[in-house]
Amino acid sequence: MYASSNAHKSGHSEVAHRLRGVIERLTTPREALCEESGLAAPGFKELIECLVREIDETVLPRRLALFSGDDAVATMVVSNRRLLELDIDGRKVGMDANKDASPETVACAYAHALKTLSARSGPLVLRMVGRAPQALTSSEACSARHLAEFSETPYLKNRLRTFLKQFHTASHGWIFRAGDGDVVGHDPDEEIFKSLTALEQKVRSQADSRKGFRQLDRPTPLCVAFSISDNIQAMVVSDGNDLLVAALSHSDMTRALQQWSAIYGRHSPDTAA
Amino acid sequence: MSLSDRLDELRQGVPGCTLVSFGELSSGLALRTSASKPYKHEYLEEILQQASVNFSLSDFMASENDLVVVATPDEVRIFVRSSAENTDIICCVCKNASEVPQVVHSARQLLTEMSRAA
Repeated sequence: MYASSNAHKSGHSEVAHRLRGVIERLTTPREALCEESGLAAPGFKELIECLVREIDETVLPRRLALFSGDDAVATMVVSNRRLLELDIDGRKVGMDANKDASPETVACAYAHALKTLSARSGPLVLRMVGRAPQALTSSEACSARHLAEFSETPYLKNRLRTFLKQFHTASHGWIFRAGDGDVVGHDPDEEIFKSLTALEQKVRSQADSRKGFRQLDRPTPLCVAFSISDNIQAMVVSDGNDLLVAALSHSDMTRALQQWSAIYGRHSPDTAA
Repeated sequence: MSLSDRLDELRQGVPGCTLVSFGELSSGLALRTSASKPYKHEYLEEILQQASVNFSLSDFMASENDLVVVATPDEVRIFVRSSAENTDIICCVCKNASEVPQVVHSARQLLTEMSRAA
């Protein structure tokens, strides 16, 4: 009881400390923020951590820059806890004209550009460089959470794997294709696995032929279910990066859909901002 | 009772059902829709496109399947296709997957009645 109470107190004081830090930074004058030495990011993971923190704590419009040595290699506009603009080497990172600029698409494009920049620039330093115009708005904006999600492929893999673990024992087989090309399968029934293989190939060829279709190509997580025989339902789960194709009994399908919603649903505790 | 009334009845009969639309898969048109709140035309268009893409996937695996369910992070979309007229479809948008059986039962019943009346 004593230990538990102490842990509780310690948790509270940690939260209070973090909150104090956030409030102090929010109330720090712009000039003082500009004088800060900057946040060093030796790798992509650290870069995203720094950026996510800055975006999440920025309400008024600010310009940030990423420095490689003395050179500013990227500039950003952040406002209202959103990344509104990203310029790399003087060029704006924009969306494909055929694609819908949903927050997910924008986050995916920004994350990809930052990953490429980090890979070629080595260690980067994030600095505040000044105030951005108050009236600046952008349709190509994303939140810190979205940027973190699309920067961290293992995070997405983990969500899909968490889902997979939950229904694995009830499944009649599955194929998991990661965004980086890795394929893992579970084949307790040869015939069903053949069907799943054909389905997985069809899903990928359908996605390829649909490229450019504005709404359907959004990297929004989806879970699709339909019957493939009298007793078996197929489930196709995608999240923009990875693909999972599985077979389940009809009786297990509603439960599997509920498990998927608990992991990917916008209102579930796992995904709440 | 008109088709619009029947769609209203279906939607109101399932707790958590926010939209029911009768449409045509081949043209991608929503012909009648009942909704609990205003919706954009593009949203309906997207739903019907999603139905069409996923029924073609389902047909590739097994013929005569009349049901596809799509869960998104915000909602569950249930597509029931007419067995008599393969292009007629009822699309329902619900909050939870637990509502699927009730929606499917009502939608199948409505499609059967429509094909008998035709």
